[in-house]
Amino acid sequence: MKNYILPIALFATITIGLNSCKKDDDTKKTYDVPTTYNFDSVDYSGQTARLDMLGELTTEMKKGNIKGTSVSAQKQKDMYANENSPFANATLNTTGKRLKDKTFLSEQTVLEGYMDALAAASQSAVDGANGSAGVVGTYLCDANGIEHIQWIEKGIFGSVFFYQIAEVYLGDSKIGASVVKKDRQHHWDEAFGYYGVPKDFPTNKTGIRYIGKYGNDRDVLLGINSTIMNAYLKGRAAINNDDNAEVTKQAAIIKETIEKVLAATAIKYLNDANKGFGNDATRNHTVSEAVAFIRALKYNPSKKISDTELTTLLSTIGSNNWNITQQNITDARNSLSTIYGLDAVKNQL
Amino acid sequence: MNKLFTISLLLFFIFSLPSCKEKKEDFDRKPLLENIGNNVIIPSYKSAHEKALALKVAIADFNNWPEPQKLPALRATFKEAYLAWQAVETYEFGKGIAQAASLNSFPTDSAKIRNNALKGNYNLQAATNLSAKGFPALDFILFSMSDNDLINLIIDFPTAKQYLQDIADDISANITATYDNWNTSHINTFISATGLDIGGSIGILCNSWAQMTERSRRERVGNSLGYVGLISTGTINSKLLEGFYANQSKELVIANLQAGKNLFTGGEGVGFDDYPQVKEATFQGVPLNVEISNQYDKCIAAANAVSTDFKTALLNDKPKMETLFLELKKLTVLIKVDMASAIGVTINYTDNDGD
Repeated sequence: MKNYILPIALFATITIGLNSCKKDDDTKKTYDVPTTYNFDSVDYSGQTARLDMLGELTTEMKKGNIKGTSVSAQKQKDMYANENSPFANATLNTTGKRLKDKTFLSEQTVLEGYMDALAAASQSAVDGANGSAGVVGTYLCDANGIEHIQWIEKGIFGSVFFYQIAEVYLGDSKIGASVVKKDRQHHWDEAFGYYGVPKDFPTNKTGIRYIGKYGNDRDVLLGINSTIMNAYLKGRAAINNDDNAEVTKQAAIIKETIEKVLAATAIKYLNDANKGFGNDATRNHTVSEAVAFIRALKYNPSKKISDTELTTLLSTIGSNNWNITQQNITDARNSLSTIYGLDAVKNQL
Repeated sequence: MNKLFTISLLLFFIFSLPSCKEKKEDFDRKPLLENIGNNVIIPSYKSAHEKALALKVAIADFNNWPEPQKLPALRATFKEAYLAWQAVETYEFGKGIAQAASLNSFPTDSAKIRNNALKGNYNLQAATNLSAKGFPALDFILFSMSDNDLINLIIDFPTAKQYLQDIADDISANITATYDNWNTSHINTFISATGLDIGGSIGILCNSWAQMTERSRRERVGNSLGYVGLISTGTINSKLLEGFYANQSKELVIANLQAGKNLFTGGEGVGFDDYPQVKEATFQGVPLNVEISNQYDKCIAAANAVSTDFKTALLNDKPKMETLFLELKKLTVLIKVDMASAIGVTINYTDNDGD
């Protein structure tokens, strides 16, 4: 007995050892990864245009934060679909790019519904209160204290920007090994375009927005900036050098880290809601933000949170920011931090 | 001679240089946190917890047997509990997050209170009821009616009787939960987080302290005087005072300030007045630790100088109220700006993502 085991064990060790050696040789291709996103033929002007469009749409919606200023539902929808030359920046009108057709399909009518609700609330002649739409402090809310501006802006953030990165452009059909190299590169660049940072980020933080901005806000505690940026750089370099395993690996890092930004930002807003619980404007605003960020989590096809957890979380928060309790807010915060392994920083976020 | 001089100069440098440096950087913050936690914060919560419990019991007793002769003692018990609360309101962290909003949102909403009392069917934990619970709601219920009306309300309306009890129970449960949490675990969290970085106890405490000092200036005095921020509109409104119905505004702000001074000095032990950087910093030539201590005294003196209750003073002695406002304004700046920057903590309670 004894005599057999030793040689087998020895053989197994050698085989595993050899295999792992071989694997290393296969994956460790040597090529340079640049420190900025300056590769050949990079173009993500379509993504930049959509970020600009959301900027203008948000400015338009925020007019409703002043009591007595009504916001047109049609104007919002025109901006969303880029119809009837809605943008002040005229070049956007002729780009042929739209936020709407890049939105996760079932979310399109939902967002347009929020635009109707926002327009209706902006007609209110009274201050917002439990049961009455109107401006609360500096935020336009519906009768349940929901700030639709956040649900629309952060809704597009999730159902366009994050969805396009996580599900569309960094999916196998766009960057998989079977895709033509030129297309793979372009798709990767488009995913980078939705990140909302300059090519030499994080050294340069000028004009960062959306995912880039919120990632940067969480950077001190979670070290987000270099993780995401390095993954974009390594993945693009890997495509250039046909390093397929590395492309997949970096795509996964990007999705996972952006999802973490969303979760951490939701925790941050729930903390703000708890601290500012007694301030109706702060509470309504921050809870609305938190809900929008939580909803955005679902656009990662390999998301960490389960559908059941997501549903439970949203029902814990409920649908009325006047009736919400501190316990609801704390429970939601704690379950989110546990799911995302952020318990150690949940009080600091 | 020359040699001796050189040697002594050398020795002087050797000994003086490192010690100079150490003095500034090596202040051990742990004893400060231990003293503040064990001898200032926990005893304050203990007192608030006991007084709130007494209030809850007194209300249960009154509800069971509503007799007019019980009312003076009940009202006195309420006033004591409200005064004891002032010493803990500053600690808006750990389990105490938003406790000021939860138990002391004023002005209270008398219409909402009437509605809850007569109809029942309310959730006291819902945000919408913050203005219909806590000490201000009891202030309204116990002090806005004649003895007979109050007794009849309790006898005739079971929902009102229940509501009165629910408010008292909620106050007691809230304070007790925070007190227990301090005793069982938060004291260790508080003492061990000695850093000045995000999550450090000094930074968390200073933020809460600055915010609550600012609250005293704005809500305890400024609002009723017609201030919007630091701008006077000249429109007085005594209904915005804390403790309006019991006419207790002056006593409450004084209790609050005395507790603030006790926090600053650390009572008998190590306090913020012993913090090297607070001692070294100056405000218009005066050491900052002396200046802040004096400013607390000036605020208390200014409140005491109002010879009547605040409600009457707003009408008859407004300049004294204005003086109190100015002293509280100075105190707020000293805590929020001077002390925070001397210690090196960031005041970020007004921060948000900017959208």
